[in-house]
Amino acid sequence: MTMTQKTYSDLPAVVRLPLYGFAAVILALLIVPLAAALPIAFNAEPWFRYPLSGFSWRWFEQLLSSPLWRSAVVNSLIIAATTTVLATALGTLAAVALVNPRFRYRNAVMALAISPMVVPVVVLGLGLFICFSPLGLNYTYLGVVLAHTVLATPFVVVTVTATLTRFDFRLMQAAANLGAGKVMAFRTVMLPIISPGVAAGAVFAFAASFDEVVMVLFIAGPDQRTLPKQMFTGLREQLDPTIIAAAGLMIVLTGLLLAVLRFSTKKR
Amino acid sequence: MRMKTAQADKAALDRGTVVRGCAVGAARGERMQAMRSALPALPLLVFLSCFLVLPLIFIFHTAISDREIADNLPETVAALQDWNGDGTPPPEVYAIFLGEIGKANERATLRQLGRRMGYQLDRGMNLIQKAGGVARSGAATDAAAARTALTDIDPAYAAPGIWTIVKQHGSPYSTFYLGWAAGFQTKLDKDGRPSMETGYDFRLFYLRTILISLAVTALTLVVGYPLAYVIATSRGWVGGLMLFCILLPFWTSLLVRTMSWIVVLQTNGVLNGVLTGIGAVTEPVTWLYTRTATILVMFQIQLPFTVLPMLGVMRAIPPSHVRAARSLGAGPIRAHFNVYFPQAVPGIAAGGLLTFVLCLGFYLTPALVGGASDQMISYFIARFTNEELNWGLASALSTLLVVGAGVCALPFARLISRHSSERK
Repeated sequence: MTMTQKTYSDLPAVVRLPLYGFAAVILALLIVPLAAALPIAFNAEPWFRYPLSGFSWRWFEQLLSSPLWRSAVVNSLIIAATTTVLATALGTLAAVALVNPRFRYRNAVMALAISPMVVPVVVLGLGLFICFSPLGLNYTYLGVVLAHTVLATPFVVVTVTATLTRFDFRLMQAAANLGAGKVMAFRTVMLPIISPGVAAGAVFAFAASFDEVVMVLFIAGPDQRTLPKQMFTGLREQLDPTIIAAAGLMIVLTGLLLAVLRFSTKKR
Repeated sequence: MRMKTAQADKAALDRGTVVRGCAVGAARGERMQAMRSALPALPLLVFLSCFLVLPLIFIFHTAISDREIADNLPETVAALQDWNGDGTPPPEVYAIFLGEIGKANERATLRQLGRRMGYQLDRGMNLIQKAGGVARSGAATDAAAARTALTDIDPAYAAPGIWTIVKQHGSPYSTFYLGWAAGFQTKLDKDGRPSMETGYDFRLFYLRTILISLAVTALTLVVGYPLAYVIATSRGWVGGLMLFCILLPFWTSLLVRTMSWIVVLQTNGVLNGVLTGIGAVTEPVTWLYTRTATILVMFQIQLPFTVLPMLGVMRAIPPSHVRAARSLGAGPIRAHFNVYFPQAVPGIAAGGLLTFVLCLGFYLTPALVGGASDQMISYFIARFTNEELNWGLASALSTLLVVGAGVCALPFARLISRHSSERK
């Protein structure tokens, strides 16, 4: 029985083998550039060829010792952390309303909430630049954080709404019957249960802000120079292995956050 | 008896009011609950109204605003209404113009006016600055002297070009920037004829943006469909590994991925190192800053965005359908295209649409791996905002981009959402 099923569902080998070969080549194309570029951050000489001329940490040392790069890392961390707090708070609250069937305009609000994912960032950057200029928010930390929050909130909204669709809302009724107010029930019942989703949203929001460069080009001044901005400037002028080291740092940091998240949710 | 019925009627009536009252109360309560259910979304709504909706409205407003002439030369505009556009306006207009230029000079808005004039008139900035010089010298005391002073300092003042522009742009709103962004000839020479100066060809830039986006979308669809099929039908660790290969780049920063391509493709890069190492080429090949590099890198970056929606739909297709078709005698290829493919169409459409819309707004990748002739419309928006400080034109370009993308995307998005709701 299983054998006949297999014969029916499988493509003939003439089609299947080239198809799998093709898939392997394309998947390699997705991974190979990254895999080829990142080890160069450990090259002893400022060359971009293999074999590496020797192993060294010099580009990472440069990244953390040069004042320009170090201040860029610090700025990125400050901006991304503040953005994460704002985006997570706004997005999580909104998600609670967006899964409530009583909320009549939730489709429209959902569309609005995730629209920053598809509106060209350059257009958003220009709009915020025009908007901020009478408010004096251009070239300030607050301006960059607000701009990044616009881009980061959709990730929180999507992640937390997905978590909330699996949430048992009878628990909220139970909390209400036991005398808890809405806020109390949210804080003590709903939030602890959906916290893995909220944490995942927060990690995505952090990554969205930590990677972002186009908004920074529009809104930030020289004092808010972030790590991606510093990388972008370097890529336009002269490629230097420090940029690859910075990319490595970004990947390690985001990867670490995701790993911590994965580990902590698995333990529950 | 009658009394009794009357009483009963009254009682019934009272009961009716009570019931109706209850209904009203319940309806109000429901409305209250509905409003309360929206309450948690309120902070985000306020936030997005301020920092998403308002900026987009500001962009549109800036695109149709054209204030410089209306603000600085209102009396000149009024005086020009009787002028029919032939030859030069009467000398009084020159005197009024010079007076207003003097006031603009005192308010320090002369530069803005000059810049605006320069957008539309050959040497416009220069003309306004010269007029500023005449106004400062204070030599022109009456109308005839004003006219002589202006036409002496620059013969362009004796031609109709500048006066036509002032007359036509006396309103604080105009379609000047939108027309410019849409590629219409907006620049005039001193006689009011189309200028010979070559400006930016924005139609070409929009066409390029659309063509590059279409090419990338087509590539991701053609390559992504078989890839998604293979991943969707694979089980176990192979399927997991393949999914990982899609998700890892999906979650890696766009900037980092573009950077990795620069490291690989640059003249002294990894690819040329390998090619010269194995003796395939003797001279390093130029890969970067070409159209091919732009499309290749954009394709590689967008592929996960196309594949993931396809994968979601394909995983929901029951394998029994293809098996049924096979058992009814269809060959494997025919069963695939008659049974499997039609069910995957909503995923293909969603992935393709997402990729196309995202490609229209690409900035980073073409700016870093493309040459001067590969830049898309976002590059020009950024350039006019940050370098040339022409916010009107940048806003007009943005307006056309967003409206165009919306018009392209909405019918498809409708179709896709209808299809996916039918599936449920």
